[in-house]
Amino acid sequence: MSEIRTDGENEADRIRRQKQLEPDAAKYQLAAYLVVNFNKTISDTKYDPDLFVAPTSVRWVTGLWLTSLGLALIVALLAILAKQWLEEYSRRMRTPAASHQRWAWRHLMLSSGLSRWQMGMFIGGLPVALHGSLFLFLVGLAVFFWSLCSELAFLVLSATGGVFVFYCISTMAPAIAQDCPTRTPLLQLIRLILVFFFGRFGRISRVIYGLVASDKLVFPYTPAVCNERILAWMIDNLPAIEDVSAAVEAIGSLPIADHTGRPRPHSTEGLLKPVVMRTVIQRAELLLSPDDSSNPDSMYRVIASRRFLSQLHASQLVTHQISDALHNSHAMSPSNTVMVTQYLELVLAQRDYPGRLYDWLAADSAVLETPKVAQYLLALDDVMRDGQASIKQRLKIRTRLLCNEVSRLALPKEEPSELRTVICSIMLDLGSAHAKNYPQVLEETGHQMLPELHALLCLSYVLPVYAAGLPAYADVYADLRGTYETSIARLSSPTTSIRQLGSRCTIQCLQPLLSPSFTQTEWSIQFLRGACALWLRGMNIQTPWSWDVSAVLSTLLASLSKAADVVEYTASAEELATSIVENTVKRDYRTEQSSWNTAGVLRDLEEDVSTRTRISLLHPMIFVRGLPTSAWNLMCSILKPHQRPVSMLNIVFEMYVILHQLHHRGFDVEPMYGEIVGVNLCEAPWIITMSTRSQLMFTLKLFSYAMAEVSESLWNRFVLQMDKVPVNDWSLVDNEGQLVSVADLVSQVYSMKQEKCYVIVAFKDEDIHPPVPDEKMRRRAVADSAI
Amino acid sequence: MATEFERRYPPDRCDHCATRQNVVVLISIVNRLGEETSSNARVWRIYRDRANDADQDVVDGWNKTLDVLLIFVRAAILEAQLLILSQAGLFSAVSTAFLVEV
Repeated sequence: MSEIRTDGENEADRIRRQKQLEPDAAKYQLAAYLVVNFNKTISDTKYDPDLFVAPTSVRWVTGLWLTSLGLALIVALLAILAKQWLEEYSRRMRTPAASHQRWAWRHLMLSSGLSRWQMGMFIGGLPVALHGSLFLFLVGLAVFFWSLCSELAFLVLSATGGVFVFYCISTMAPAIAQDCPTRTPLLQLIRLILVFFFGRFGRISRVIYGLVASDKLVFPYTPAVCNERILAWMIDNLPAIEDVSAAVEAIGSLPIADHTGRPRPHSTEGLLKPVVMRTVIQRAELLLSPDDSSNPDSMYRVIASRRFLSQLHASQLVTHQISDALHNSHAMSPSNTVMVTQYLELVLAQRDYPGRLYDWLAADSAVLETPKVAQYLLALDDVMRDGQASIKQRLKIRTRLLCNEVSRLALPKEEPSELRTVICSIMLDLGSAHAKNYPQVLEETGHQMLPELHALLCLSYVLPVYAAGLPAYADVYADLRGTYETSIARLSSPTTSIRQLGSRCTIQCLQPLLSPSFTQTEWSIQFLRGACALWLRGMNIQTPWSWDVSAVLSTLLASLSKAADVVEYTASAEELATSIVENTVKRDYRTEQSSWNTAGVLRDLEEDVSTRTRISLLHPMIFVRGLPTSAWNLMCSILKPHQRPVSMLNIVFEMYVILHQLHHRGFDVEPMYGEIVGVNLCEAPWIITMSTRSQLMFTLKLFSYAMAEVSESLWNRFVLQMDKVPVNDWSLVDNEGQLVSVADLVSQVYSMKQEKCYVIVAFKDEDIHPPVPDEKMRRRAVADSAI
Repeated sequence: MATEFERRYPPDRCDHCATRQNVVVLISIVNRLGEETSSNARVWRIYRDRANDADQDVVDGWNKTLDVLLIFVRAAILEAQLLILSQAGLFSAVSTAFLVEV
């Protein structure tokens, strides 16, 4: 550029021309001038262009700077290249593929190529090259100043050295301190190089590797402490109340510390530190400040954290605020019931403050409307299950009073209202501890409920007490038995609300009934039969198959399987199992999780449930993830040699389909085919039972499958068995009662356009007796079936 | 009741045996199961989306590194050039070449 410029020389141009590597042109001209004009020579080699040598420092500076510049340029080139590669990669990923699978295959290849060709390492290495270039430049700078001014050079050099040391330390520090944030890809590079060079020297490599190779994070805190700190940070710093609420809610899962700061006995991991606890409580108090208490949602979130609540007794203030907020919240929505429950639990957990619950209910029941009291009672009912005895005792009188109050209300009697039921169940529960008062309680509650439901409810409370061997309850129990026997028949169509209560009661009754100490076996069988009938009827209701029904059924089954020594139980279990399976098959068995519990129970009934039941169970089991292995075991147990032969044709077919599925899932089913085919062809009955066309179709289908898929030996065996079949005795009657020939049926099956019927046609040609197929024909059959 | 996931990736259709007496329906089950990795199965769609996300992350990260690098190299060259200009013109030959670019 300087050559192009033609205007007058300025300072910059002058400076640029001073190339220290070349002889000084001005001096050179001077020397020539001297020689020409004065015939004098200057003996300094500096002025002789031939003998000119640039000073060492200049050469160093030039070399360093040029290298630095070159390196930077190379980095720029490579970076542009890499950007192009990445763009190309993204473009190839965006290119449409024939199918999603093809895309996945392509992606697998290209993305593994990225790692195989060390793309990340390459891009990570580029900055390192640039760092090198910078250091070269700095060193060059230092050398440059050396010849000008050694003090300045020293300054530059020391600065460069300092930066270099800092660079090295900051690069290597993450290898030693995991939380050091100065981590760069260079570390990975160093690790690879070290491993590559020192990998073969056992001990050194181990030291080096240990120094740099630990890529896995080792947390300095226990998981509990980590979680705790994170939550504390969220609560302290996040502005949005939803976020804070979520964090507060999550605190519930942290290990608990009691108010002294010691971990509770059952907590092993750690404890919520008092500091964090204080933060949490402060935030909770903020959340519950009068301004916010109108917002039930935020309050709910605070309260919903059960374990958090149990820690809150450190702060009485919070407790009071919660209770006040509950009092003030005028809209008692169903979600508030949950809050009440939680609050009651909180109060129950406070041993030093047991009276508050009572006071609360006592003070409120006068003021509050009945629905509200009922809601409290509902909540109370949940809590009372594992509440403290003393509180129960104190509540007893109060509940009786409440019951009276409720009974004064004009509620329609036909509808067993939830409120009444709850109050009655509380009363019965409380009263069951005192045999003397019990008839009175029964009478009182009996007015409130449907008699049959009352009987079931009472039974569920009395039976456990009676079964525990308390003779005082004998009369009550006898009465209840009578009531139950008459009422169970009337309870033929349970509605949803009754079902929920009834299922609970039934399950509660089952436990004592089936205990070995309970001697009245006959009656327990009767009860079980009644329960089975009740719940089987419930299953036929067209409403969605609810959880409670399936729960009670599985419990029934489990109980029955435990009492396997009683023959009658087995019959009931079988009936129940069959019904469950039939109900299951009618529905989408992929989503009905509850029925799998039942299936799991039935799996244990191996000895007592008939083959038919077990096979019909197998069918749904096969389709559920995780169950094929169980199905396999069950299948093996069915096909045990000592079992009676399976004679029902559709069972055979189902077994075949199941085997087919098992085969798909990698089980070795070939011997099983042999069992099925063998058993069924040796025994003639299946032919006789074959009365409809569809059953014959099943059979033919089965055989065609078997022929298309099983091995040569099995095929031979099948043919041998087929020869034994008394073919001439076949009297086949179709649906219209017409006699049909086997050939007709076979052709009908063939017309269903299933390629696998090919072999069937082959033995149609041979008129009943199938030929032993040669290898070629068999292959063709397999090939056809594969289409 | 379908979750967001199920709505985005509907499960592959599979007939279940509504009537067990029907051969055809049963056969269709037989043929349908075991094809969960067929060419347009759900799992591939999920894989495609997830893999694209993962790739996006990696490639974006690299691109950012490279961008910073390129900007820095330009700055460094400019810097070097200024230094060279203000000093004895050691690099005048080189720097003039870059002067054109800048």
